[in-house]
Order: sequence, then structure tokens, then C-alpha cells
Amino acid sequence: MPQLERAPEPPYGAVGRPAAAVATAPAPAGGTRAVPARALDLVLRYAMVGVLVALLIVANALSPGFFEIGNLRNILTQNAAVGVVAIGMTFVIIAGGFDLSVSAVAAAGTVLFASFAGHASIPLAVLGVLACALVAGLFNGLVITRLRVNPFVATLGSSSIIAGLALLYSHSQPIVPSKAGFDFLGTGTVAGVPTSIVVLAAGFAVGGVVLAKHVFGRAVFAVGGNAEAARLSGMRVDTIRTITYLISAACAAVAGLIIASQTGVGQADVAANITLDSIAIVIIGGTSLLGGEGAMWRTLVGLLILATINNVFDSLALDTAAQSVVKGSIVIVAVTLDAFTRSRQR
Amino acid sequence: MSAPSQPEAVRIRGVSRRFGAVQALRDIDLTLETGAVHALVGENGAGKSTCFGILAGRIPPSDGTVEVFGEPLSAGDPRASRRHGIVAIYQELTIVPALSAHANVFLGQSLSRRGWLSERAMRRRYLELCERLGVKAVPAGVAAGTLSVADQQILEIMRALVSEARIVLLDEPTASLAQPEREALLELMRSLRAEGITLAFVSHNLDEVLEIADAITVFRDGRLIETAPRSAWTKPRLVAQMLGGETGERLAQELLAQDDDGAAAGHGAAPAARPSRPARPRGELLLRAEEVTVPNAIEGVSLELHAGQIVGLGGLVGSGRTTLLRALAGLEPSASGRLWVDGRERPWPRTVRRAREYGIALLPEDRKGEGLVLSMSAMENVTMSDWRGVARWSLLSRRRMASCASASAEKFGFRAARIGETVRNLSGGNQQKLLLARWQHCRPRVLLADEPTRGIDIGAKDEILTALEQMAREGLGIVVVSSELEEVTVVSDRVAVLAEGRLMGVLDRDRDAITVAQILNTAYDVEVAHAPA
Repeated sequence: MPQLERAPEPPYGAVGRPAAAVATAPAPAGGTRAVPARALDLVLRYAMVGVLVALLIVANALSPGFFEIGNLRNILTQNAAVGVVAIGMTFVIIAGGFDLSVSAVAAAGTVLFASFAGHASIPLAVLGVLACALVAGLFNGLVITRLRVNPFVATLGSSSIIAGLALLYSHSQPIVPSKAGFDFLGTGTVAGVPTSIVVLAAGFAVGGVVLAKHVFGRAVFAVGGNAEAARLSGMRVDTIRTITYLISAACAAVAGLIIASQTGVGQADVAANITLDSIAIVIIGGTSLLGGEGAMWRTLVGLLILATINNVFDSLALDTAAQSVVKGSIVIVAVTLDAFTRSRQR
Repeated sequence: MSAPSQPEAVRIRGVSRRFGAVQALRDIDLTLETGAVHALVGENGAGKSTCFGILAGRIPPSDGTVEVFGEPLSAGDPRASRRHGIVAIYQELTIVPALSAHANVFLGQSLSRRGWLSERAMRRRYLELCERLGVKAVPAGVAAGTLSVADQQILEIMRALVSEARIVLLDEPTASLAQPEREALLELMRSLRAEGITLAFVSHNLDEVLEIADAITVFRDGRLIETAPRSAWTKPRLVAQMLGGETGERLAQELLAQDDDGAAAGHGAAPAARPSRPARPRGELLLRAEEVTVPNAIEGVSLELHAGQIVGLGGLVGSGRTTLLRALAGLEPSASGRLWVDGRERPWPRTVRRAREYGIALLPEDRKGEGLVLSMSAMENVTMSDWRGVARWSLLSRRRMASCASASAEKFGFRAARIGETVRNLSGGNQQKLLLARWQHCRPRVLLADEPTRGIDIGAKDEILTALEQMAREGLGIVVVSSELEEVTVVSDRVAVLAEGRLMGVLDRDRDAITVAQILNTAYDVEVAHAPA
């Protein structure tokens, strides 16, 4: 009887429980939470906004010219492409999916845009690129919903296919069109604002309203939160999922247009880091990788955090390797916060 | 234990527990006698589960002491509870699906020789255990994930025995079991008791509590209302104590009245607390299904449903009740059969959307898994069956959504003030009300309700049943499946009895007595003296 030989343990109540135990205790079903717990929830909910504000203050201290119009404009134009991709990625991730093919679609977009621009007018070339991207998105969507292939694997595969096709199409050579207006998206302005920033802002505005208010946007949440429940309430779950991949591919193509227009070349091996950066942006903002929870403003916050870090490191002329370390750490912090928030919700 | 004085297995003194502002337990004194079966009953949130949590070391109490076999238990330490021989078995089982039965029983305590697992010794011990407990052994090659919930539960209990548990806590062990499995589990509990193991269990099923428990404790609002030996309790008294106040009085009165009826009619235990009544008037024929077949599940079943009536599907788990519902709801792509909707023959629905076109909606059994989006608000969940109805130019209006959702949900006793809350934070009863409200919001013609009252407390159960009856009165045709056959007998106008995927007969309230015994007799094809039709 080993139990009987042990020293008696202190009885209940003899040891004062730390107050923190209250905050981490599960709330009873239907019960109200304590005030400090509520405050903690609020802090967790807007943690990343706090991080952004802190970063902005630090950025301003480290490089005093940070808030100058010229610098802000630079930050946004440099990150317009990845930002647009993140808008599409937000839809995919909230619907419970994943899209690894966005880099390939964006790169193929630059190639096709440059190529089409040599044969047709710019608007027609843009439409042509978007049409091709929608085919890629439809392919992703159908493989995932009809063939029931895991999104990770499906888009990994399609990414390789699309990248390969782009290389074949361009014979691995950069395409440099010399058409007037090809650089409009990259370096042109609308009413004094760079076109790429206008596109980015419009994307966030439309994407934000659709996600928060539109019947389709809420259906995306329902599908990501509980696909079976969505199906039983009569939603076309597979169609909704497929549409998110269409949106993602279209956004990636727009990013490709911006990149080609900014650099003046179509090249099949650009934008390789867009996939991971766009996913990082969505996650840093606090949208859950498990689907069903998130918001477009969160992606905007994530984008601004990443953009600020990039800018500060660039202006301090620091190594990009250090940038990578900081970026990775912030992703992990964001996911940890999400996991912690979830554990509090039981 | 060998201590000469035979101390009580568990002695809880003055234990309280608050979660923030909520007092989950207030000053509880509870003693579990060694080798006895002790039942804890009460509504959801009454404090039973918190009590278990404290014993299992999951939850530290805010105040008070716990002694186990005379020794103080250190607070909030699951390992200390385990060392004292306390094992808790929750509704969410911890079976590893890919492993065999015996590997699951010896999970985390595997028998090994010099570091190598001894498959054979574990298998032998497992077979011994099966014999000792009088349960059928699972073949060696079968993965535990393919077993029924009941069999998985048995594995979990065996795991507790292997780890030399002396006190086993069972949280709603029979909630997801069919009648024969329930009885098998109760039998198993008896043999555990015979081995001197102390059992405490939580259950919403008062019949089974009264059948097996040696002592019963009633909780209400975090207080221990009363502990008394089995002999001191009757079902009406339990209900009255659980509910307290006026509702308790009323339900207890009705139960008493029914007890008399039941005795007079000679069919044993009283059904739920609702008066018997004539069948509701039959409206037009909404739905006629014939020759419904789902491979390996049901064969050649037919069903008729009239507007304004509730048809129960009687039978045991595995009889094909749920499959029939799912086939009608368009969830069984391999289903075949002939279907008439409003007198017109239509192709059999093989997708949910097709079924919805026919006006058929399903209230799924698995509330959280198939019914609700837990991360969304109550009002979104209610209106998601028809968001277009609360949108303008496809943009949802929060105001219209809130007012439509509250109007629908209030009919089922859901408080409108909570319509904006996230569903995850609501109780099971409230969640179920939201699911019903969803089909109030976008009105189907036919509602298929699979286990509408599973896992919710007795007060909310009553509200849900009343709501279903109300919906029927408004012209809806309802098909109900419930493991609690009493519920089927109480609420149905007709009962189609299934067994092993075949229709065994139909009981009609206008013609037959609808009782549990009658359903079981029909299911088992026992000859009963029928009143001539």
C-alpha cells in the first residue's frame, strides 16, 4: 500500500489558489464570465492591433522619416501584390481551405500579361490573364471538392503544374513587352494615388464587405465553421468552397499583373515567396487556420505588420535573414494566441 | 481497502467552487459509501459535473476538503486523484480508433518484457477481464474505432479496472446507448459493485437511476438538495427536487397522475411528464414513401406522413431509424425508393438541396457536429437556412436578422436577449432550441427530428417536446426518432416500428395503445392481442 506510506498531502483550501486560476478555468455552460476574463478576451481579440501600433511607434523611433507620405506610399506599393493575394487567401482559409498555388498563379500571370500585351490591348490582356487564372482556380476547386483531395496536396500539385506550364510557355525567358500603358498598374496613378494602392484598397473594401455582410461571405464562415451544418441548412458547400479558390486565383492573377507592371517584365520564376507571405499575413492578423473564424480587417492588420517590419529592416539596411527570423517569430506568436484563445473557449 | 474501519470511499466536506461570478458549487457535503452505486441527478448546470471534476482533480475547489478512503486528496491534481484510485469516464471517450480492443485497455499501462510490448499477455489478460465482467470479447484484429459506442465504453471501463481503480466516476454513461446496451451497461455496473468498486454516475434517465443506484443525490443550482438511499425516492419526488419551485410541483403532479394511469392500464413505468391524449387531426397527405431501400441498412420500408401529425419511428438503435430519416433528407446517396410529395411522384432525393426543394428538412442528431456552426452567433445559426430572407441586395441586415431570429427562437423559449451570443457559449438545451428555430425561420413542410432531446435537461426537454407539438398543430408534418422510447410514445400520433432495417408494423393512436411495451413487442414481432382495427 504505497499510498498509505506517503506523507499526507495538504487538504483542500489549505493551499491558497493563485488568482490566475480563475481566469483560466472553463466557464460553466451558459454562465457569465468574470469581468477580468472578459477583459482578457478583449485583449486577445485585438492583440494584433496592439502589436501593429507598437510596431509603428518603434518604426517611427528607429527611422524618423517613417510617416512621411513618400515612405508610406513606398510601403504600400511594395506590398500591394502580396496584399491582394492575402485578400483571396482570407476567403480560402476562412472556408477551411488552403491555397499553395498562388505564387505560381501570380508568376504565370506576369508571363501571360507580358505575352498578351504584345498581341492585344492592355484591357484585353488583363481580361485574358484573369480568365486563365479562373481556370486554374476552378481546377483547384474541383480537385478539392469533387475528387476530395486534401487542399494542401491539391494546391501543392497544381502549383507545380502551373509553374511548369508558365516556364514552358515562356521558354524560361523573361518577356519584355514595349506597349504603352503596360506599367499603368505598377507605376501609374489615379487622382494622384498609385494605381496599385487603389487596387489594394478597393480589394480590401469589397472583400471586407462581402465577407462581413454578403450572404456568400457568411456562407464562407458557415462552411469553414461546420461544413455539415451548412450542408444540412441547404447551402451548396462544394460550390462555395470552389468559389473561394476562384477568388484566390483571381487575386493572385491581379498580383501578377501588378508585379509585371511594376517590373516591366513577365517572368515565370518571380514572386516565389508570395504564397508563404500571404498565408503569414492572414494568420498574423488572427484569422484561424482551422477555418470559420476571422475577418478582412485582420488581414489588413497582418499586412501592415509585415509591411512595417520589412520597411524598418530595409531602412536600417539590416540583413534580410534577420527579417526572416522576426517574421517567423511573429507568425508563431499569432498562432499561439489563436490556440490560447481557443483553449479558453473550451 | 483493508483499513479495519472500512472508511467511506469519498468524503466531501464543505466544498464550494466559483467560476468567476458564477457559484458552481455551494458548500457541498457528500459521502460516497465504499462499494455502492451513487447517482447524481439534476438539471444541466446544477453542479454534478463540477463535482466529478473536483474528484477527478480536473477542477480545484475554491473551498472545502475531500478525503478519499480517509486520506486527504490534494486539490486540483489529476495525478493525485489517479493515485487514490479515482478514474473518471466522460461522454467523450478516449479510445484510440486504430488500435485493437486490448491495446486500448492497456493504453498507457502496457504489459512489456524488457521494453518490448507483450501482445500475448495483454490479450490474455483482456480475455480474462471479459470473462470476469461477463462481456463478449472483441476479436484481436478488430480496430476499436469500428466498435459501437457501447463497446468502446466497456473498453474504457476495463482500462480503469486494469489500472486498479477503486472509484469509478461515469458521466452520463448511457446517454448514447440503445436499450439493450443500456441494460448491459447496468449489468456491468452491478458486477463492478459486486467486486467492491465504488461507482458514482450522472444520468438524466431517472428510470435507470432508480433501477441501479443504492443512493441518490439531487443537485440544483450548485446546491446539494438531498442525499437519500434509493428506497426513499420515487420518480415524482426526484423530479420535484431537481426542478424545485412550481415547475417541479406541476411536473410531479402530472407524473403522479400518469403513474396511476400506467398502473391501471398495466404497462409499468410512467412515460415522460405529459398527459395522454387522442391523436391530432390528420391533415392532407404530405409525404408517402414506398420501397425505401438503403443497401446494408434498410429494405423495403414505407412511410406516410400527414400534415399536422407526428410520426415516431420506433425501434432500437441499429434498426434503421436514423438511416430512414437521413435517406428522406437526401443524405444517403445510395438510397432508392418511390416518393410522393403532395400526391405527386418525385424522384428520390439524393442531395440535401433536392430534399429541401420538396420541403423536407432534417434536425440532425449530432447538434454540434452537424447542426450548428459553433463559432457563429445564435441569430446567424437560426437564419442560415434562408439568409436571403434577411438580406437586401444579398447584403445581410443585422437588424432584420436579429428580429427574425428572435421571433423564431422565442417560440421555443429562447431568450431574445441572447440572440447575438456565440453559440459555443450556450447550453445544450438552448442550442437545440436554436436548431428548431432554424426550421421555424424557413418553414419546411416536413421536419425530420433525429433525437431532438438528446443530452438536455428535463426542463428543456419538456419545452422542446411542447414546441414540436406546437409546430405540428401549425400544419407541419414531423417524423421523430428518439432512443428514449417513452418520448416517442408520448409525442407521436402514429409509430412506425422498425427492426433490422424492416418495417415491422405501424401503431396508430386511434386504434392501438402506444406504449413502450407495444413498440418493443412489435419490434420483436411478439404476438400481442390487438384490438381489432
